[in-house]
Amino acid sequence: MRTARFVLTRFAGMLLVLLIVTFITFVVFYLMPSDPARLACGRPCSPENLALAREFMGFDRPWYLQFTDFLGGIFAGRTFGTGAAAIHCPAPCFGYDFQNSIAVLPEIGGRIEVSFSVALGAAVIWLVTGVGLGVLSALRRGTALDRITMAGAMAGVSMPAYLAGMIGITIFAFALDMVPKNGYVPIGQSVGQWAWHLVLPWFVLAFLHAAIYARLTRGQMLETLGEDFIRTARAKGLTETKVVGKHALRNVLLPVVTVFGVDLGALLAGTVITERIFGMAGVGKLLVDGIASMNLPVLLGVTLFSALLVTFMNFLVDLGYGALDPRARLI
Amino acid sequence: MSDPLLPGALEPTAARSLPAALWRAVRSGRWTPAFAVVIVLIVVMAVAADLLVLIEGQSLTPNVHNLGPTGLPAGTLGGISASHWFGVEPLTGIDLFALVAHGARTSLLVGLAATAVATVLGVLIGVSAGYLGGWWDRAVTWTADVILGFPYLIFMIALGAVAPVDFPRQLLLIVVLGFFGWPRIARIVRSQALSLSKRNFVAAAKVMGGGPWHVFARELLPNLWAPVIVIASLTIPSMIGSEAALSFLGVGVLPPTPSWGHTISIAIDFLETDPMYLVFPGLMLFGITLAFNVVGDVVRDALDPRTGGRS
Amino acid sequence: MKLKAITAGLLAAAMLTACGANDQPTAQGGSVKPGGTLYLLADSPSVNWDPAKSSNLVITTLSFVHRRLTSWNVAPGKDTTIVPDLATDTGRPSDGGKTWTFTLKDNLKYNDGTPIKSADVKWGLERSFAPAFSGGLAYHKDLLSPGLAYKGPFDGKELDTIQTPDDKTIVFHLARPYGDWNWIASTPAFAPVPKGKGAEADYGNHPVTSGPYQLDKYERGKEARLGRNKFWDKATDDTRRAQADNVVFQLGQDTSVIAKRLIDNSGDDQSAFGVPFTSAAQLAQIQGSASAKARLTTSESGALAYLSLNTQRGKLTDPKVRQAFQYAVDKAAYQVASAGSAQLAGDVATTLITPGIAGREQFDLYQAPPSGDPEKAKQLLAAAGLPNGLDGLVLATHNENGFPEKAAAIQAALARANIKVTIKPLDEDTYTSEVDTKGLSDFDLTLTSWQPDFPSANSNIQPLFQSTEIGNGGVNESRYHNADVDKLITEAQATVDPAEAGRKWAELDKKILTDSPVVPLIYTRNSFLHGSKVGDVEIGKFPAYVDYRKFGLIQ
Repeated sequence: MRTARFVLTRFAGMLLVLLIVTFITFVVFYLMPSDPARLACGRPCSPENLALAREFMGFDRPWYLQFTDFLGGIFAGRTFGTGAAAIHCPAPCFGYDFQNSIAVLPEIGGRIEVSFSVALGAAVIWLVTGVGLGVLSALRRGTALDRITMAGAMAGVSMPAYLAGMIGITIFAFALDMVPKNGYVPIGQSVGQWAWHLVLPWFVLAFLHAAIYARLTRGQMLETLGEDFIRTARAKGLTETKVVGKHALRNVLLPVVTVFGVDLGALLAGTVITERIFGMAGVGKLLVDGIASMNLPVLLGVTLFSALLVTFMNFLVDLGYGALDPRARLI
Repeated sequence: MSDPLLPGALEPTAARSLPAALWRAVRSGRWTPAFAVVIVLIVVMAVAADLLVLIEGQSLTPNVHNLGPTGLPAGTLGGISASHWFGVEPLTGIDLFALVAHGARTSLLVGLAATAVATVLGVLIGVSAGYLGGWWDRAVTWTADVILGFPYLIFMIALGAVAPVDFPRQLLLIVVLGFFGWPRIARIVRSQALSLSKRNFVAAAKVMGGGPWHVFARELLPNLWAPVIVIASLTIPSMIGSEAALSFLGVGVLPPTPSWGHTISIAIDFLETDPMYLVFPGLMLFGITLAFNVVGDVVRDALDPRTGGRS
Repeated sequence: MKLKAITAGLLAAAMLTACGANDQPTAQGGSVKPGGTLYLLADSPSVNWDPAKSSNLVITTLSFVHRRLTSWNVAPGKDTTIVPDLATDTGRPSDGGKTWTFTLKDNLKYNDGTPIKSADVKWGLERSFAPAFSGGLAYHKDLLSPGLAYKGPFDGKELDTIQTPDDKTIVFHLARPYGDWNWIASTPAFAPVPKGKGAEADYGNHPVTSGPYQLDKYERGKEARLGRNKFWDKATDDTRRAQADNVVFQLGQDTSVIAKRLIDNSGDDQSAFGVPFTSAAQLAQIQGSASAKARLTTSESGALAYLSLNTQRGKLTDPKVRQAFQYAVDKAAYQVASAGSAQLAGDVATTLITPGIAGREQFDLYQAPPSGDPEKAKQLLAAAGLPNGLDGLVLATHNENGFPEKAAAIQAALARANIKVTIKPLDEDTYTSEVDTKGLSDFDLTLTSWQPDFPSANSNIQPLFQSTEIGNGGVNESRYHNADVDKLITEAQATVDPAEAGRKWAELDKKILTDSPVVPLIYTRNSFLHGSKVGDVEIGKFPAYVDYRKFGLIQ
């Protein structure tokens, strides 16, 4: 019963967060000087044409009405214009991208596979590498391995993503010609090619993020190994593998999972810089392009999408944390 | 050496001689003094940028006479010489040392100020939430969630477009980065305050009639200095990196104001023809971020009683 | 047409072409033959194939699929002239230029085999008035329906200023005499759309095509594949060679990566052409590689880069003060800041009309060496009552495409003449709203660039200097308001005889520059890179883009 109430409360909170984020985004975009109707106006753009375009897209209504239109569209769909050339955006309608003649939700949907492929693949690599190296470094504290790993981790944490990406592509794709230079191959088309084209982005991202987990794991492991219950386990005569693998690791993984959840949420929302450098049509690239062409419906849609992902991951992490650690049940 | 950015990871310490502990921490270790020196050098470069550039005999003015026939710097290694310590910028002939020195100013100003804003806000809000509890605590936690869920890149761009043209860009960046940075700090400080509030000496203060402000200033804050310093010192490199990333994407500080991120974004294209153009600002950015990370690590080790100097 | 349209990839990917007049295309022996697959590497994420919504240039992307009534004859070293495309001639004006009649050629078919009728051209134009499909070039709109009273055919109404007495004839009744109507008839909206079709918003994803190719596949953000339109009759089309069998656009690529791939020149990239302009950094890299240098094509001329002076603000209201700016700027430094060298950047500009436009006259009212004459500028300022120069001026410019760096070069040059300027780079939207939309601007100077949408002097002068183009999104950024000039512009627009119109525009060019509302800087050259198997890559004098209708693969 208590669990159910906890889950429901958090879920309701999540929805409220999304509503507020939508609202703020709406207000911010409304305040911006850019006129989205201008893009549909043509050249030369006469005031009459601009007014027509605005009316068609619904931008001539006051902002609070535009907001309710938007919310209504999520449940009931929206229609722009009248007559044979009316545009219908089926429910749930998160806006319509007039520049590309597609509703925003399917547009994002078509890109999710790319962003998720980049993010999840890299995440698996950095988690395994990071945690593995962290554990090893903790066990071999003070040795060359430890020092080198931590130095490398420091470097990874301090390096800007764009620098790493550009250098990676210059060295591995162009100078050494080891990996494909760009492009994304859908997993449905060929798993081998899909993975091959993703190798470079995966490793660039993994290098940057693994560092955090290596440091984190190492620190947690060192701390845990000093705890009483580990001493007890060792005193009981358990092998070192059991001590580390079964008892210590559990303690270590809890905070790692927390950070991972939050990290992943942010990453799934679009690996903006990676997609730009590697020429992949993911959600991040959609955001960058939307910014370049001031495509407001798209920007709104992507903002919502990323907020949704982050909030949802936070929610999952809180649930998981609450389930694993009863002390953390903070309602 | 647990990650301080997890709730419940740090224990608030008694207020010992903080400066002494810090000094000892920085002086110990093999590499730490070197990195501390790096920080000092770069700070000096930023503060004394005008003076140093004057000594060099250059300025931020373009000068095509420094360039070769294709617009690349004349001379080898990107035009390094006695009068151009770092060489010159392609296509404009601007002295690269002047650019990098002034760029340091931007990075440090925005990075440090944004950290300060985020820290002050985070501490005030976090402590109050942890100590007062109740509806205020819930509101704060929930607001923090909203802010954390917001993609700040879009916000920065929107604000950049909305703000009046005369509004100083650095200030805008500081406000935005500080605003999006406080939730992380507040979360940590809040859990510290929560555990502190349950301690006897706080209860004693309350019983003796101390109001919330008194408790905050006299009982809580002195014991929070250590974790706050640790968090702040680890937030600095992340703020510096964020400013550079925003300038790289073209929505941070705008040219002609020098910024490492902007210079790097152009220099990447010149990697094959003039690598020095990327090396200097890139190395500087990497260097200062690394230095702050290393020093911050050492500070955390020194101030965390559980590891107490163990590393 | 501002560079914004190109970089922001708004509604069409403005395509690039490269090839100077002297570039020998066959880098590896052999000549261009029909067949093969041509790859076009593009940075913009989408292409707008809907003719009503497109702002594309006549010679680039949409030329593959959509034919119009007229087209352009573009050749290196020659002025660009108008030639017929779907029509039998370039239009017959009557009634003093208020009525224009065109006749369609025989044997014209769509890619589905149905014949192209004049009613389809009318339908395509009517369609462009519907709000759902506005967004493309709109030069025809006010002339066919003043005040945009007509709202498109989808509620059953026809546009009666266009008449189609039979399947081959189309007659336009314009609101006022307009000598350049035949040029306007080459814009995308004049592409035929089968009558009654095209009501769906995503018509652009599967358009009916009249050109040599059809759209086989289009995936936004990823690629577009064109295959041959077997009903296209080469005998009716002099302007398109349509050499390649297939054309594949790879969309959304990073510009640095495009340049690197083409310099590398391996695998399929040998049959590839780079759509974006080669940036200054890439040009520097290319100069160092003999192979890449041979595959770089640079235009002879191009968009006019200029500094506009706000004629309604402060001391700049005095023409003598404005004339001082003509001597104060350093055009040589501007060339270097643009592309590293004068040869790659473009010639120094001294006229408003760009080279390649018939009737243009070359003159220089303010003779000075390329690096300017700051002493003379100081003298002029002193004579105008400003012996200590000018202070506190604000220069607005775009914050991409190297404009901030170019603005820095201008700032340094003006400082030599005691003119102190601060630079304010603005992103596209702020620029449009602050500089182009507001009536009164807060900026004293703007640094920007202008390329006409079609090769008529009208397009060089009217949008920049007619007083109706101040504010409301117009690009008269110098806020130039001269009743005489306004009258002369309307007169020149109404002149039907091209030679006489050319003379009138040349006179206007001189007259406006005497008032010095803008300082012409350079005619911006554009350079493009292609793989070794791509041949016949040509750029004419106008526009500064490669002619996509010509190139093909060397086999």
